[in-house]
Amino acid sequence: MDRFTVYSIALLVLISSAIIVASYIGHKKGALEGTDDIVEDLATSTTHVQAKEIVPAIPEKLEPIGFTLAGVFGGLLVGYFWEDVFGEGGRE
Amino acid sequence: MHISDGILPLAWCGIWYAVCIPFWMLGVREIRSRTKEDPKYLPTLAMIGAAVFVISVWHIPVPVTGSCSHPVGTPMAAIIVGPFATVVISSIALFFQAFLGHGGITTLGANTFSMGIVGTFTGYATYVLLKNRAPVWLSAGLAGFVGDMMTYVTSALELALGLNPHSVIYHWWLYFLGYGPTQIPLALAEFAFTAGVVSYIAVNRPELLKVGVAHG
Repeated sequence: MDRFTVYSIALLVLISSAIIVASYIGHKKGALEGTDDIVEDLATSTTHVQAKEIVPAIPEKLEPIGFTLAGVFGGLLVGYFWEDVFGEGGRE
Repeated sequence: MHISDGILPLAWCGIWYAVCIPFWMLGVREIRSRTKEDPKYLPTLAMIGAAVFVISVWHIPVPVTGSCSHPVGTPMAAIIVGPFATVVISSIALFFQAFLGHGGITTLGANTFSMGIVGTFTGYATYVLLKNRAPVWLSAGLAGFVGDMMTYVTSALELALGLNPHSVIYHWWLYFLGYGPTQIPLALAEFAFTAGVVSYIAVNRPELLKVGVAHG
């Protein structure tokens, strides 16, 4: 393995560890509210608008599956079929 | 910066979509021409798109403020794959994030404008302005910091324009106060990882970096 690959794998392990630690802290202490929700609450309190769910959000427990599906569809549609959709004359 | 469906008036949703259209068109053109020049560009773009998707949905807790938020990743993407292409991959990331309860479909234009256009171009401009005057890590890091903060400044402005047209400045400031205190530490984190990634690539895979900057 070259240095680039070794460092990339080390970075992957580091980021994954940070996610696991943060998840554990969140599990123990309860999740902190996101700033998007805080600001939207502020906006709704002054203007009486209400957030609507137009697209069905995936339940939290199914998010890993959602991420996988997003990756598969995103990768296939945007990556593999890019030439067919946007390329001149389609895939050669 | 993920504004949900139902928050912005439909007229404003339309305006933000309209603003994004030329950037999407130029982005698709940029991707087509770069792919023709270098077939390796497309997998790089896909990889950076995946990174933007994860970075911009990954909520990081900030215990000091008792809330959490996320970096944006678009300044880093703009330096590596180019700014217009970053607008396209940001929109794709934001579209899929709507299904994870972050953002929305009617607000996709507004969210693309804040993260994909303002975050991208302010970060990219910072990098381009500084790259010949400062070390790579510093110019890339400042690009990350500026792009991150400007994304949230813009989201606050979008909310104020759409919801409080009679007191835009006051509410712009008010909404930004909701984002700002949590976002500053995360913008510093964005400084660190943008500086780290870009300077590492500049040393080890400089040809990847040329893809974004040489044509930008």
